[in-house]
Amino acid sequence: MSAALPQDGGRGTQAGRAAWSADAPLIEHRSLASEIWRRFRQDRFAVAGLVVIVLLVAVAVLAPWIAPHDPTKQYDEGLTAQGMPVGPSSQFWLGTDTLGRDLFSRLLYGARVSLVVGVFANGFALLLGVIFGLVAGYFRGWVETLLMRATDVMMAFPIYLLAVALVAVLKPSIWILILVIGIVYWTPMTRVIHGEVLSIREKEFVDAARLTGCSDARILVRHILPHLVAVILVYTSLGLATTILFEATLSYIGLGVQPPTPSWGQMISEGQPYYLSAPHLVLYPGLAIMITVLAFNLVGDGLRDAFDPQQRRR
Amino acid sequence: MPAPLPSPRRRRLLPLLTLLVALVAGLAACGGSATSGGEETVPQQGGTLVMSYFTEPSSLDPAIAYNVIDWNVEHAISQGFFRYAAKPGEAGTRLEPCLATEVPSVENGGISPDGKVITIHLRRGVKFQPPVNREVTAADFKYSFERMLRAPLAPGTSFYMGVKGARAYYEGKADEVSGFEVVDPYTVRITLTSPDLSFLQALTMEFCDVIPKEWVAKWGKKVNRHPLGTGPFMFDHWTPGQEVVLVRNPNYWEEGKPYVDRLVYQLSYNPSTAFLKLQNGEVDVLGDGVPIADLARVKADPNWKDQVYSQNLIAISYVFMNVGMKPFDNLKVRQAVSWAIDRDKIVKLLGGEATPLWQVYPPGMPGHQEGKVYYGYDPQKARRLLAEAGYPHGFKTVYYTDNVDPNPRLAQSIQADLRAVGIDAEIKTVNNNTFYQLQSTPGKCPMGSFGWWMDFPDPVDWIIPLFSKSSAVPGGMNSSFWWHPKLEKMLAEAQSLTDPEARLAKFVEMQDFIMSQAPYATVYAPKQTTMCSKDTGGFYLHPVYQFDPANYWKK
Repeated sequence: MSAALPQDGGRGTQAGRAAWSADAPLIEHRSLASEIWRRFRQDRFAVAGLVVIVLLVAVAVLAPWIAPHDPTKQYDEGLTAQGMPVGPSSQFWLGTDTLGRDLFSRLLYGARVSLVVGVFANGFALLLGVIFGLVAGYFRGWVETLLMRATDVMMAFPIYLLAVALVAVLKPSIWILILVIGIVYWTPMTRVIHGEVLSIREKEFVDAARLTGCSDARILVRHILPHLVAVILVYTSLGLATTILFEATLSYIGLGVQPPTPSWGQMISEGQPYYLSAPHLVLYPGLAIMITVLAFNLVGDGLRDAFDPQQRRR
Repeated sequence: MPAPLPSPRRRRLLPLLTLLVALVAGLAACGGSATSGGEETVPQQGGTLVMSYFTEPSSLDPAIAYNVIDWNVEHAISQGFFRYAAKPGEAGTRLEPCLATEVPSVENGGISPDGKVITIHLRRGVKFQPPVNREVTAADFKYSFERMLRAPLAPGTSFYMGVKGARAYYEGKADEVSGFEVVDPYTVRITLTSPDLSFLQALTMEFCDVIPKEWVAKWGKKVNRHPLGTGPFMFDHWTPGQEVVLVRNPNYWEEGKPYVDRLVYQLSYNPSTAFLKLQNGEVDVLGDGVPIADLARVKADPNWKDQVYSQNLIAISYVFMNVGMKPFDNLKVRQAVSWAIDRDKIVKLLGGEATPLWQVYPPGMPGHQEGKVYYGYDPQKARRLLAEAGYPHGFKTVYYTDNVDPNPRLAQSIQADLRAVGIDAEIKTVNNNTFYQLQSTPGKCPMGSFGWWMDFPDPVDWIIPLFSKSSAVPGGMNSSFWWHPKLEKMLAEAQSLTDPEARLAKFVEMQDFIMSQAPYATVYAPKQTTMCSKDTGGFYLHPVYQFDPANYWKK
């Protein structure tokens, strides 16, 4: 006996009538984006992280207008008579660095470097990761073996050593840095995407699409890729945190942007010998990195929780 | 802990024991010097002395090595005819005999009246370090000298072209240096083509240190990693990037020396780390000095200020401009750079540990003209000169520096000065040994920072390695690759003069000419400020050698 779908929307039964009574909560249609946003909003830490990121982007974009000084100008009055950096004053809000340059302005301009490198390097890693993961997971066979074993090899590589070697061979500059971080960082994304695709490709709508004559490319892009949005968004936010930290580390060892362009990692490296005599030189860039990375981590966690259908609402 | 004694013996042994205990207590009281104020004047034998540097020696082959760290290590292992007296200040710039019995002079007959023949008598019974173990003879000195003249890339050969037959031998036209004779196993006679007042000092450089033939035959080129000589310490091992370890030479000819059993050169700590390690007791001497960031603090710290030692170095730091690379072939461009650099700012960045340098010879070097300023700080003038040279909008170039603090920071200051006159210089920071290679290879570095430390206190030590034709070659120290026939002529004239006053006047004239051609922009003369640990005894700074570990001991 076939169970016919109720024509009356379930109002025929007593439970159904209760559900459809006038004071039942209204179930409105929401798009995925607005649903995710609604759930994200409920996580206070995630929202705080988002606010910080928005501020950071604003500061980075508006740096030339809001910075009180030229970040590369070495001021005579920026050094004490003994040649040491000066502390906070009305002229230099956070003090100066070892060459008499305004620390606050350098922090603002350093934000640009961190964000540009973070966004582009992560974008590049994302592109590589998604392409490899999709292709490996969908086509299986030797393509999958080749790509995934290559990924395993890359993951086994000590990434810092590889980055150091690459940047040492090529001339250090912001674009080489982006290239290097992207190359070194595509592996986690590939694995995750590959895993997701493996499960998605078994779903019926993929078979249905194939039956209706869709090409592989169309299936990948039109049908499978949209289901990866959650994973991509989450891993990108977390990845941004890591790439920003990676950029700071490479700049710290001298392989990032070259002086006099400021970068937070480079500022810590320059200020390090002075940590006992002028601790503000390492404190402020260090705080900046910490807050930025924390913000991206919080947003990433918030997104992951928002996308998780089992997550209980608070 | 003494065991309780059985009774019968007690009466005889007790006074003996008391005496022993008193002796030991007395010695302990003399030896203990916990605070820096304790004056320990009796050297103690034994212990390990750790010196920290942040660079790797490039070579420990005396014929080839020319870096400061190379010579510091070599000085402990190899020796030659003479050495500088083991005293600080001016007294340390006087020669005294080492493997020779006396310093030859006209008065004692060691130098002929015409100044051309030098006779050196050797100390007897000096043995090479194990495993060679045999006595040093005059033939070993001749072998070492000739080896050095023909060693590939030897940077010091130009100092010895005044020896008769040296040039012919160097160019492969003769089988030996006729002017370097073995008169008998303990006498060497050197004949010069013309008298040279600085020759004895040139002989005292590490280039002429004696090395046994069979050792070189055994190791070939690898002898640069397995040095052997007659010095107070012998080579034990060299872990690249980590340390060079030397141990006491059991055959050493000077009674009672060295004091310490082991000498360790730590190579991996940067100046800040070394400073921390010294305060922790893991390092005894800071080879790279006290970091500028901590200088003011440590000089004011009552706990450490007695361990801080300073001396004015006879040394210079300058910006070289490669005349083989455009646009530094243009004199006006070089002069513009000389006007563009703010030397007072650099001295300030160094925390006052330097004096601004406006000429080639630094204070303390004979030939230094007190108060003379050749260029100055005038960015307007620099811009005018650049425009006259055909670069009204400046130009782009690359500025090289090594990576030891404070050089990268000073490079940024100079970069800002250059930018203020329109020169856009990109800074390239490389590690020390790479830097030495690059600056001595033609066509690589258009400009950069370099330094020159005194080998011996005579202006010829400045002129030959930095400004002469013979050093403007690959492997040489003339990073500008600049030379001039007029200067060559002046140098030859000066070297032939036997009157020290006239000779010095000639060297001063040379300075005028060099500054007018501006191959370098001189920047500052450094001061050396370093520290030793609280249990290092006998510490002092030597004007030529900087450090003298054979005369330091552990308390």
